Amino acid sequence: MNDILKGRYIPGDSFLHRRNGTAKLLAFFMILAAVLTTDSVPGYLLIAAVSAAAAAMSEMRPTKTLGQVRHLRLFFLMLFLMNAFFYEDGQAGGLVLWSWGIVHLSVPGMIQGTHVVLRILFLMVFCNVLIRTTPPVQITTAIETLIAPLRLIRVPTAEVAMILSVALQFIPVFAQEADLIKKAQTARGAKFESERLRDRAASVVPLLVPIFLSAFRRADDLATAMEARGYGHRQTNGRGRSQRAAVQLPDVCLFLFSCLFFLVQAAR
Amino acid sequence: MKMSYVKKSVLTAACIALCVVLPMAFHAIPNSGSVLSPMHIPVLLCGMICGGPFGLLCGLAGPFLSSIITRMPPMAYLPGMMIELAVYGLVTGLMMQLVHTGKIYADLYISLIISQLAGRIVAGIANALIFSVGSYSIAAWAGGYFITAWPGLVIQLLLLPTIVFALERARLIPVRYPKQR
Repeated sequence: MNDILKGRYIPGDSFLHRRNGTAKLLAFFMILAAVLTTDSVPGYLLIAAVSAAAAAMSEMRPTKTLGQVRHLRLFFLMLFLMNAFFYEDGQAGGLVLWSWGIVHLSVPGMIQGTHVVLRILFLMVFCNVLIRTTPPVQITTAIETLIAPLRLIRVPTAEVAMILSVALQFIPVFAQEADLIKKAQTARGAKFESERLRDRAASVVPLLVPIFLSAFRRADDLATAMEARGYGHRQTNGRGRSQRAAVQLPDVCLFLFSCLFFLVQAAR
Repeated sequence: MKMSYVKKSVLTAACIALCVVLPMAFHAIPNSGSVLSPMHIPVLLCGMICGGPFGLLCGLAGPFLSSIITRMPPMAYLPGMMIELAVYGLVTGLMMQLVHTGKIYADLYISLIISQLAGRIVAGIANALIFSVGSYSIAAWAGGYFITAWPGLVIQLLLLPTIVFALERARLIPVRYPKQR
């Protein structure tokens, strides 16, 4: 189970690793918007060039940059075929290559399928670069900075950020505990490895109550410790707040480049 | 006895962490995400125990963190799922505040069923109007949220009251109707 958690953030000292989390997240959103507005071959070529540059700046091997994309070949193929055969514009004037009942293999459908596959593929690549170069706590801090204006409508942003960072600390602990409980249940005869789906489903259900009890016990201990040390409602005095990295010139340049990239793609 | 704000915050954090861990525990079962909906359990529980606003936060942050860390759910399904789970958390919390029948089972089931319906309706509307405009139908909504997911609905209805009772007995959350004991 813990294998899933391994290899998300890869520590390093590349250009992207050293960038401010907020700048990276904002740049990611701008690039996301640029990818979603692209619908031409030169546009996709530009995105491919930017994604290659991002991979180079993160100093990651191409296999790491692609991440799970390689394992989703079948998903992309299905996505393309669904669009190629069921795209409705094919019926309404586009060139239909083959038709049978409700199934129409059309040129507009194939183009639409290619757009969808390329957009998702590039989004996954950029998402991979962001996640592998940014520690989860830095992402939380970036989110806290970005949601700071919500304070105007009385959303307690500092508390939200505290909850998110505590949740991030809990994840590996709970994963380990769930693993232990799983082993204990296996020793009592649970059939997690059974080939029958029913047995596997039935064996997972008795895991839940012990997992919740142990998680809530840990949370209760932490809450008691925090209260004992004076961590109170709206009087945090900066306690528990993660340190923010200062914004440097390259961070601003990264954000400005992503804005420019979006404007170029949107104007195309 | 009421729970303090700090305790509610930390329990919400625990529920958000469970949103990431539980789908991993269910990982051995094929299609467990859409069939058993393991992420719904901590969100509903958070709403029940900590209240609507905390449930809302858990519903928004749980799938987001899970998607970032484990890629479950995939980014393409994330916005729809965040809306659905946020409504579950918010409505369960509000219903638990509003409904006081004097019997904990009745309170839990009324809140659960109403929030499960509300979340599915809002997610269906969001899919039809925002995420899958023109290609979403009532049949797809009913198929995806009720027919495929019925084992998850049954597990939630059976397990959540059991978990709430277990937590009350372990004195980890306040007892709702102390006089019944």
